[in-house]
Amino acid sequence: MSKLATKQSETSLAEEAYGPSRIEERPPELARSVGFFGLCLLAISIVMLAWNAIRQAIGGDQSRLPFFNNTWITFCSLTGVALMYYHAAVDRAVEIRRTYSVLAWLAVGTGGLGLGFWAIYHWWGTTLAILISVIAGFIAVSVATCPWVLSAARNFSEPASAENLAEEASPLLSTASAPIPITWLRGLAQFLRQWNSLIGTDVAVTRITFGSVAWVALTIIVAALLTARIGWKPMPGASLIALLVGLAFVLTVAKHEWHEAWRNTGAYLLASVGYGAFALSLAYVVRDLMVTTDAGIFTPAGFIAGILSLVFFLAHINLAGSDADSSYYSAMLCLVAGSVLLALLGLARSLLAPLAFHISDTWRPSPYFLTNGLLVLILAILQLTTGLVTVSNNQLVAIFRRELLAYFYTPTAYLVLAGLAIIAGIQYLTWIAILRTAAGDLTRQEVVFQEPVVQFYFYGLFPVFALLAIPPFLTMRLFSEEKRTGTLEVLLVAPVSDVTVVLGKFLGAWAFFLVAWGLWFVFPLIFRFLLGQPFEYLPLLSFYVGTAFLVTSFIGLGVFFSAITDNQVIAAVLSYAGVLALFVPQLMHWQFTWAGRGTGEWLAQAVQQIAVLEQYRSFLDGQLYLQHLLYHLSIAAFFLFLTVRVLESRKWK
Amino acid sequence: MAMIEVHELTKYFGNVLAVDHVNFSVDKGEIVGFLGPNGAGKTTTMRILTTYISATSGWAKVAGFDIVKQSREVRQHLGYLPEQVPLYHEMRVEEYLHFRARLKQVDRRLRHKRVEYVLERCRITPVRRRLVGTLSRGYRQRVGLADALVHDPPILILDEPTSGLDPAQQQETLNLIRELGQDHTVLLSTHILPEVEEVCQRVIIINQGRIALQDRLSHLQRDSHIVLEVKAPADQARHLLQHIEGVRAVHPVPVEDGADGICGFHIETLDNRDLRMAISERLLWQGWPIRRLDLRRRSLRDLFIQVTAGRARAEAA
Repeated sequence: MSKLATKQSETSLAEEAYGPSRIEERPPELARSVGFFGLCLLAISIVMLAWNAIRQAIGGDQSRLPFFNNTWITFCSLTGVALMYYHAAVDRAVEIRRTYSVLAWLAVGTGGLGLGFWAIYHWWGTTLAILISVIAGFIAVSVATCPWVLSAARNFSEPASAENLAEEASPLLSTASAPIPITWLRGLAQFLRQWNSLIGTDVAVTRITFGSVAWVALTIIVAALLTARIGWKPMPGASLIALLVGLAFVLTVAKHEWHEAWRNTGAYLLASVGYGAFALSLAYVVRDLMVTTDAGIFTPAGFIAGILSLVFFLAHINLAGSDADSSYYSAMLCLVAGSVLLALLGLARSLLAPLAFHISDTWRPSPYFLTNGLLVLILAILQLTTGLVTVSNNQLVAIFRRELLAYFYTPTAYLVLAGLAIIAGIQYLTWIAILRTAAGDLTRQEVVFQEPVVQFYFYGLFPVFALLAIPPFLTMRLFSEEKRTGTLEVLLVAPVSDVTVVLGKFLGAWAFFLVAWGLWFVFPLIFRFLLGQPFEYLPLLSFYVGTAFLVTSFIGLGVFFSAITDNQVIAAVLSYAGVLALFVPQLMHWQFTWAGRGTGEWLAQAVQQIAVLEQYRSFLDGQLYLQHLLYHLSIAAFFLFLTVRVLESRKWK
Repeated sequence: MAMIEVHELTKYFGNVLAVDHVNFSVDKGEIVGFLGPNGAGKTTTMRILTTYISATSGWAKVAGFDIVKQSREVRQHLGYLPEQVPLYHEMRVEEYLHFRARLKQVDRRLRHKRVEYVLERCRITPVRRRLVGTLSRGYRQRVGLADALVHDPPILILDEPTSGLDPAQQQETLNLIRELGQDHTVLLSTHILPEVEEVCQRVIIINQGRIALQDRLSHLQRDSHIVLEVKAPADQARHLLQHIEGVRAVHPVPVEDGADGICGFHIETLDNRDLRMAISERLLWQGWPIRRLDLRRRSLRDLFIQVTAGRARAEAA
């Protein structure tokens, strides 16, 4: 403290004395030990792998040398990576975080190239041409729109004086504070400048050309090497894992990274990978459009690529941070434009089959919409909403975003997601067991079982319980916490209408519920794609849409009860009571059924219409009745209206 | 041009009369101190002006907009710092300000610049990446102020902006408010009077919901009287003093340690003239030794106590 203060002039001395408490860079000894231990574990697992490989090479399968079990190797490597992740999240020292970020970037790059290669390898002929052109195009656009690249020469010619003070205090800091890639990039930037002056073109044009050519060349060379020379079998799973682990590390380490250039480089690279993945999924759709003989190959690779691109875009935004940055906007605009393109392509391909009758007498493309087209559309809608929500300046969207993110600021989100994942997992295992007993043996392809089989997955205690129990848990804090801490006053004094506030909060809770509820749908996908069991999955879609509407009433009344009290517990209890009240028709329906009163009576019929579980069941059967959806929507609308009135009551109370 | 105009504003909470037919106005570019004892109705008045609650009767205009009919425009033109500075504790300072800027519809091309500007202006750049919940009271106050400023409102309503701050932070905040007064209209509530004397051009004292006094600070401070302690026979001295030219009234007052014949006076003069030279001349002429002779300007503190206590006495009577 004194050392710093004596250096300051008198005015800033006061500033320093009353500044925030300093963050001391104390070496996190524990985390370092943990990280080192993790590294050791990783090394051990690599040694074990190597030993197995050597043993294989020397003696072949008949070797009598001992070997290591795969389970142990997996366990060691996973634990090692997890421990290192903890270390990366805690340790802020500059060398450590840079090492981790470089390693993470290597993992991302390897994973990305591996996946790209896998995609090319499998559908070499048709895909390659499209893929290369589309990737080149997108890379070109991303390079062109990223202002960082355009100003790279200026950024890197400045000395690295912007380094944070805390970094200088770092115990491990050596003289090598200028990272190697920066000098390399500076050289590149200068070279590009010279090149431009030589041929007299625009800076951007040159960079686009160089960037895309370099990327395409790299992909082709690596792909060729791997197939022709080494005979390496592409491993999409390993690549995907490398990609995701690398991404997790990059994002975690980037939280400690204050240096603008590093952050921007990271953001830019992430966006590029995102564009790559997006181009891949687009390429699949285009291929589907051309090859009309089979049912299309969009599923699942294209879908995974599309989701990956979304993840990378979000990562890019996370890192780029400030929304004044125009790269952020261009990224979002590209995402929006791309998703519209995706949707149009999907629709066009879906319309081909019915149109074929008018176009040709012999040409009959396979029907497309129900499997692939729908997935394409869902993907497009996901991307479109994400893009619009991130970029929008609308007040409603601002509140919605804050409320959605607020779940992730606190442990709520992680608790709910983890809990749901666990009980969904248990339910999935139960489901498999049911199917197994019913079918005798899972390995037999002709499973004789009544469709839709998903009803045995969703019509159970756990999913119903999750559906009823989670909404109040999500809505209890919406207004009550703001009332208790007084932030409601600040929120309402901003130039925003009460309706916007209420709707924003409602939509935030609803969107989070939809994400959490979506976890349940991952397990059937595993069943379909990893275990290769075909089943009737369309009810899943109607069920998701139906339940999404069903919870609007729960969330609506939760929002209302949260607004009338400043105590979260009271809000939760009242909301549970409300949910129970909405469940009463179901109890009555059971009563009627047991009492043997037929459905002929109007009361029994009416009760059956509004009985929650009966509706639930009909969604699961693939029946979406408008009256069921409207019933819940109107309850939600009623309670939201009441909430607005409650907020207004502060004025006349 | 009146930026804030309040006419016969009244607010009942049930049977409690919190604000009682209040009238005042604040002109463009003024810094007005809004004073009063605890529970006098300061916060209620401010909340009515920010449209958070509405008045029982009377009307008010902020930046020319009616607070009931054009509440949204009012809020668009107004930055408000509530007393407790409620903030979202789970957000980071930067994130919070960006969110607020979005909510207040700051143009997206300006938003980044505005946030940077208020971070710099309120001196919270060093804590921009910290969670709001981990900040100390003083920093939260500044984040609140930054939030009030982020959409560049012409009017700032600050409810006790310096409460809970240490002396250096108070000074810093006051300097900031004085700077802001150059291009904003500021209505500032507090009960720390030296602060008001330092920054405000005008004061409004509110007591038990009613305006007890409103005037320019320079007018209020013009009132002065002379304090005199002299060793002399009280009657003679008083007689003498009353005949000095320019003296309006002489009030004998008790003196500390007055046993040895020292008597004290408060002397009011016409037009608040400074008659110290004349008085000392006359007294010395008489051979009366002077123990104390000074000119005391009326401080805001005296005025405040006088106004609020006077009202209390009147109520009691």
